Amino acid sequence: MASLPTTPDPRPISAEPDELRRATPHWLEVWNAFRLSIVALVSLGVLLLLAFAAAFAPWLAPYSPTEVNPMDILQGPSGLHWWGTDDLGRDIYSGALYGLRISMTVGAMAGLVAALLGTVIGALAGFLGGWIDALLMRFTDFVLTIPVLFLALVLIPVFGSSRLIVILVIGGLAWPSIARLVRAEFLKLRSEAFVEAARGYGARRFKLIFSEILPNTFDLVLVATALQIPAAILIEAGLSFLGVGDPEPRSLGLMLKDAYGLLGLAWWSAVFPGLVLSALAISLNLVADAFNDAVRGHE
Amino acid sequence: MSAVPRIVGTRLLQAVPLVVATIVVNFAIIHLAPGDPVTMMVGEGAVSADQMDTLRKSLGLDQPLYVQFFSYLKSVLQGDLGISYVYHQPVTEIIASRIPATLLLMGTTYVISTILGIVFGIVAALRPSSAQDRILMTVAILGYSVPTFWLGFLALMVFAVELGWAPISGMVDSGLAAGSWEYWLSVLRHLALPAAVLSLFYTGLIARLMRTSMLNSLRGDFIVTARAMGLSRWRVILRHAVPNAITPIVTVLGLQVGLMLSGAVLTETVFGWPGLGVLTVQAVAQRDYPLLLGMFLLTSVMVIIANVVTDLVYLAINPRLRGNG
Repeated sequence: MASLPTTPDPRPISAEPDELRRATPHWLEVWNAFRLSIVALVSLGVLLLLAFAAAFAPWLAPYSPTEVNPMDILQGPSGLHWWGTDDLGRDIYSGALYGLRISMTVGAMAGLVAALLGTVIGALAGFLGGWIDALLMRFTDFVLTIPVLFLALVLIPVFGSSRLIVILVIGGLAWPSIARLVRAEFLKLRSEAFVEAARGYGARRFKLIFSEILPNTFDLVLVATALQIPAAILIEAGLSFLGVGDPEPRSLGLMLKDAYGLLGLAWWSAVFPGLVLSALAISLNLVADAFNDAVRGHE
Repeated sequence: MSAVPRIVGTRLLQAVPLVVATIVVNFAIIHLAPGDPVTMMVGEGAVSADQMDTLRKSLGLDQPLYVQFFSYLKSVLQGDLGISYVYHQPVTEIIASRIPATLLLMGTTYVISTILGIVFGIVAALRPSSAQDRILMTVAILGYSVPTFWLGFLALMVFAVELGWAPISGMVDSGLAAGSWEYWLSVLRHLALPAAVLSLFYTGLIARLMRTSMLNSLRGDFIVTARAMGLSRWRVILRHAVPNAITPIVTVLGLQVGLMLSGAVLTETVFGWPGLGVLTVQAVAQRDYPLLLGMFLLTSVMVIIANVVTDLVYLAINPRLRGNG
């Protein structure tokens, strides 16, 4: 008993292959392309595991990450302290779990800031064109050349070291590649059939941007943002290592800074937090890369 | 070819307001900083309030900000970046004394990672999706995902502390006559680890970009045409595809100049390399405003110059952009 739909699809029906492609379940295609790579699947598994560990850190950590224990200083890995303790007797495993939380939060939030800025700037440049486009792109190129860590190193102590400032500074410098991508996509989509059609119906400029073009750039923005997140995480860790990152006492970068002071005394204090940080950055980069191939590959 | 000088001129003119803007921004940013430099200099409660005021006056810190700015601008244009609060030496001298160390580390890294990155990128692109491509690209991602300061740290733990093959920090053993054979050998021993660690990072980045660029180049019509004309595969690759693929890489290499400074900050800190990176970290910690302003100016000018040079190199190797005059 198949009943015919009574309301027609609001989008203009077109026989162009591009329109047909967008009608198929998109994310299933991306996933099918993604899962072909074993490296990508393993990385996704590692990433999910790390996300789980970060989310449930308070339940998984056997000790408080900051608890000083003078009786237990510089203990090597054991059943009591899986990853050993540092020179204040703090448990490395517990510290790394909480540090992972900070890294992931800062990375995700900085990514969000970059995605918002990049989308707005790219959309304006791509849609408005002309001298606004030229000016915005010149500015984008300029921001792209700013040494982020170097600038953050000076900006963060100036504005005061808080997590919000760290996120804003890192995210505020990570948007150029996203803006370029959104702009290119806008230039491409601007003249496509469904946008032309909406324009033909008399849709307003900003309505066009928001309801017709922007949704179609969503997957590309997501990929471009995903590619920026591991870099943001490494910058935060680097800043913490230099003493100006997230002020939380046990971030991965700060743990490595402390470990650096124990060079040759406690290898575990450097190896384990560094492994966690590396695993996070590597799995994020590999997942983002495979995701990128999957999204672009089927276009 | 009258277009070339015109483009060179335009680029240089565009750089001037950027440099001026940089001076203004640097000054503004650093003077928003909390923390009083005089307290930092002499330590909390070390001298009386009167003495602090005298010191503040002698440094010009009691003047309104705009007065401080104009006197700063005037000095900068005369090549005077002021006296460091901490070192009590001219900022230009301090910076100049640190440039060779950073230049050596960055230059070595630049050469190694450019050559390796381009070669790996080409090898990977020649057989896309093959085992060699997948392995090379996964290793490349590992290269730029592992934090350089941690890798440097591990390298120190293994090669310097445990095995004793490499020195723990610094650039050269003391007591060697500058320029002697032993001196340079010692520099080389100190340089090996930081340069290797930093190179791994940039080789990964450049290899990925080169692969993408090479794949695009191999898809070009001119490649198909050249093959159709009967040129051998290798001739087409080496004479046509590779030069074409390297062109966009030049732009990226120009951008790397700034990024490499960032990398140098961490690597220099880990290896105690006496360059600009370590100097900056110290200047931040000690709120040495004149030194920080000087470092910032230098960095910005370097990045701007690198941009201009990149544009020009791009122009030189890409005849299509020169126009017909």
